[in-house]
Amino acid sequence: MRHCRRGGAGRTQTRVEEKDMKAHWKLHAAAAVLMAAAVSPSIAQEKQAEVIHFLTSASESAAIGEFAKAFEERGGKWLDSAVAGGPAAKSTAINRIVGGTPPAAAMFNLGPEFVELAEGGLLRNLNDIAEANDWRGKLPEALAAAAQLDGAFYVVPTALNGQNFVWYNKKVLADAGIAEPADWQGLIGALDKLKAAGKIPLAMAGQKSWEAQLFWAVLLGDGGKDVYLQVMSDHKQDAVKSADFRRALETFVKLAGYTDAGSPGRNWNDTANLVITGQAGFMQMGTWARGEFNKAGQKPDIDYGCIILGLEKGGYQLQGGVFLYPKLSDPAAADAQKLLIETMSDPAVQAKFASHNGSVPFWKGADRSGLDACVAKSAEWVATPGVAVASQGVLLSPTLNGALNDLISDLWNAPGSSLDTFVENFAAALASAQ
Amino acid sequence: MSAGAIVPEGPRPRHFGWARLGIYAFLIVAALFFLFPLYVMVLTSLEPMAEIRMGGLLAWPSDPTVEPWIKAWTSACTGLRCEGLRVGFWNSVIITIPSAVLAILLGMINGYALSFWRVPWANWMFAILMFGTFIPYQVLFYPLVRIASTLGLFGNLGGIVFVQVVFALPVMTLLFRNYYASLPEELFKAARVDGAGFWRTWFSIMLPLSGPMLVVACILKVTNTWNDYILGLIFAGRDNLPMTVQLNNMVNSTLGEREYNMEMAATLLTALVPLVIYFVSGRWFVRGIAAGAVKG
Amino acid sequence: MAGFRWKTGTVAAAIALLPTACVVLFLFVGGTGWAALVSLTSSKMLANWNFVGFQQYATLFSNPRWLTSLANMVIFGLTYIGSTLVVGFLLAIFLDQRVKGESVFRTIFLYSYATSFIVVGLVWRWIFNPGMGIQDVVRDLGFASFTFDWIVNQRMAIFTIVIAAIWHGAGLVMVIALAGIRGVDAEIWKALKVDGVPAWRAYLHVILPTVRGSILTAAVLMMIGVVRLYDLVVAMTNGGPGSATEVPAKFIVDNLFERQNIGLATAASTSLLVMLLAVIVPWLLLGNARRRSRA
Repeated sequence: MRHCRRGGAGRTQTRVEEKDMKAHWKLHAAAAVLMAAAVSPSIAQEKQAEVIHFLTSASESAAIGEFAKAFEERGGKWLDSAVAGGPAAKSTAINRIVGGTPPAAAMFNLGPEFVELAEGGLLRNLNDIAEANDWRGKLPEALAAAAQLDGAFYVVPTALNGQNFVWYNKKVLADAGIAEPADWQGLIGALDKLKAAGKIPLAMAGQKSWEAQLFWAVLLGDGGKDVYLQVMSDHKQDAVKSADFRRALETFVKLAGYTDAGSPGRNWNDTANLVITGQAGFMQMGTWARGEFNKAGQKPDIDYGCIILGLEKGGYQLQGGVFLYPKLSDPAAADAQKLLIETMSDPAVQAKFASHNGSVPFWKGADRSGLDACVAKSAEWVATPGVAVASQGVLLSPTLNGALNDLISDLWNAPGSSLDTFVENFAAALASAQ
Repeated sequence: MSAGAIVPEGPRPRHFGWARLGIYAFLIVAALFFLFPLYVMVLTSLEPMAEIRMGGLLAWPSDPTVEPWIKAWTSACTGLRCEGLRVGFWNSVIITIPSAVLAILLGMINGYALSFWRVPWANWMFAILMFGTFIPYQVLFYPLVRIASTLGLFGNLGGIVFVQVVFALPVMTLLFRNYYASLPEELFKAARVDGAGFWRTWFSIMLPLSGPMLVVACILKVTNTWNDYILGLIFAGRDNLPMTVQLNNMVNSTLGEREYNMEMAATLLTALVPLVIYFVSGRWFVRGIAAGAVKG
Repeated sequence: MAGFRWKTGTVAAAIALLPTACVVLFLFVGGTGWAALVSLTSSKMLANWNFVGFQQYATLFSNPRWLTSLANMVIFGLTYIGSTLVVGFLLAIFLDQRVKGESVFRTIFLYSYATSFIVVGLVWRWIFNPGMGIQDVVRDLGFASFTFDWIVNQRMAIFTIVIAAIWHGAGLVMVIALAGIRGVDAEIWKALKVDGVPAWRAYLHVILPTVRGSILTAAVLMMIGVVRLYDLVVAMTNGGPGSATEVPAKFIVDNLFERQNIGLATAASTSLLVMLLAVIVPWLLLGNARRRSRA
């Protein structure tokens, strides 16, 4: 059931059912009046907080609606500033912070994006709330590490996605007599059979970020966790020149031969569609692809499968969304912000958020019942120590990530080019990022 | 302006000769090229998502529906709110009208001053203005944000109008400067001999002649302002977000599902207002309308 | 244009130009200066004042993506401006023939300008896609070996963007041309008629030279569009396949926002400006010299 929202002049309301809304609203109004009469004038003003984020599709809207609802139930007023597209939203937030009218919260991606803002003293230090609610205890290692700078929390992780999933159409595989592959070499075998059967073996969304995403998935699953982390976290030059890296590189380049002519530039949604409608067999995409499968009415483990290739050798690549909270000078606004932070970091509220957009609930002790097969698998892997590995978005600076994207994309789109040159350029890019 | 525009005289082509056929053929072929994407968009906007998934770019929908159009206007999700495009319609209007009026006015005055008057630094200013417009304007965001917030014009209606006018100045000035420069000087000299000053000459002689270029400038400016989204996003403030912000939010979701039929409908709806203006601007393209004024 | 020396009017003109002059000074000069300064620092997401000399420029010009962007801008610019001028003026001339339904035709040719690129770029992407667009449609009609896969071809992809850009911009050029042509003195038309000059010759040798101003305006507008080309590329190919359709404005905006590298982005925009100056200034001076020598 989609949640619908209707707004009056400036006020956003959440409504669950037609009937409940009126009763709900009246209850709110009565409570507000009572509260206003009971408390001192300075707090009688509703706690307003403006939130900039990039959750704009129907399911994403339902997800953010959970935060808004919870915030308003606790007495706050949610001012929504949605901007589609991560870079646009983030630059809007940065412009606002720099221009002197910061929002109360802004959505970024898990990783080093917030560091410069924190170093510049523009973000609120969240340690007081973190201590009070034991974030260090309840968050998985990798996430907690990525949310802190010099031991202080500056962001609240809100969404966790698995990046290196491979999705496949059960019927297409069954018709071609292919079993579910366990690793990347096994996948190549399956792709050969699909090619013979006349289907598109690997449906590929030919855009830079997805080409790079495939590369990192192969590096992790085929090259192994060691070489992956040495390249990503330690920026080791000899890791790039190692045999493991080379092998993964060759697998990656081989995959390019299994895509169809229409893949360059294609949106990931249209690519998922090829798998959904049975024109293609496999697709590599993150857990958000579940949304398209769901919308088309398909069920996990019945119509489609979701696996991670080379899981033991590699791991589960996680990336996520976070919210950061700029420093506000007005004490009343800062108060409202505190309420917002507490609301958004409440594991119960976060679980409701995750239920709409298919991201993984990651707080330790979160309720895992009621998740569909793919999300449940993800949740289990996140909870198992040693399986979760941070993705390139979390470990690399945006500049380095972009530079490597360029290299990888150029290689993918010109498969005959020299692997030695690629390795050299790759190593040089890593070196210059120090 | 003289009474009645002068149209070229001579016998009307009576017969439908090869020349006329060729003209119509060319225009129709061109029209087909220009209409092709529109055809695809309209078709897609009338199909349910299940049909779009099946492919078939030019296939007539077997199950046509106007639901995407209604959804785009009233209930598409653009963030927390799911109220479609209509939320921003009036904002777009109140941003576009003052921006267009101010920008065109300033452009006309600038063009006029640059064409006929010898202000020593004017040509330098014009040169820098033109070069400045070649920079991708995103680079100027940070300085502009600082300037705007210093002037108290950041995050409000005044702010977005200010920014729209500022970025339109180079092109508007260019349009009118070139246009006035092509007008005969006798007019101007005559007015000066009669004793008219800067403003009087402009108001009584140049302004009435500006018809055709005024329409072009209007088309340009209204379209650019109406379709702009990034400036509105950054400078207009939450309460004045134009319709294009909703359009962008509907379309550019990174990890969410795409509803192509609704996106097509939304784009066509957004384009309606400039279209109406184009259609209505017809009467200004009558031949000789400016020339007629010269005689009078 | 001879010069007048009437003081009062000149003062009024100067005052009228003052608002624009302020904008020019503070925003364009000040902003460009700020950008040039930042390009000499190691700024990432926010501007810092850690000066590193011309290091960003060195990084910039050894970046193959930037060099590809520049090449693409030139290729795109020449083909786009040339084609659109021709198409736009042809449309205007044909429309000038007092055809029936002129308003309808004019609106058809112009409506493309009204649609925003965000979604139109996607439509063009579908149209050019070999799997679902024109190639697919023609093949379904029976021509099994018909190929039109420019958009996935590294060399030809830029020309798909040219086609979409012509579709978008020809209408505006047509309107500018029409305004110019329709503003031509009726006496000239009469004279041509009296002399029995055939239509095509009238246009080529008399009308077009008269509307040189319109041509220049349209050309400059399009040059601005070429240098600032961003939305269409992002919507159609996002710079792909690979980096085949990268353009300078996209390089700059990507580094400004997504890659959080404003030092590199401002270096790119400053060097773009310098290159434009290097090309346009000599041309302007040449034009001035020629005019003076003629006078």
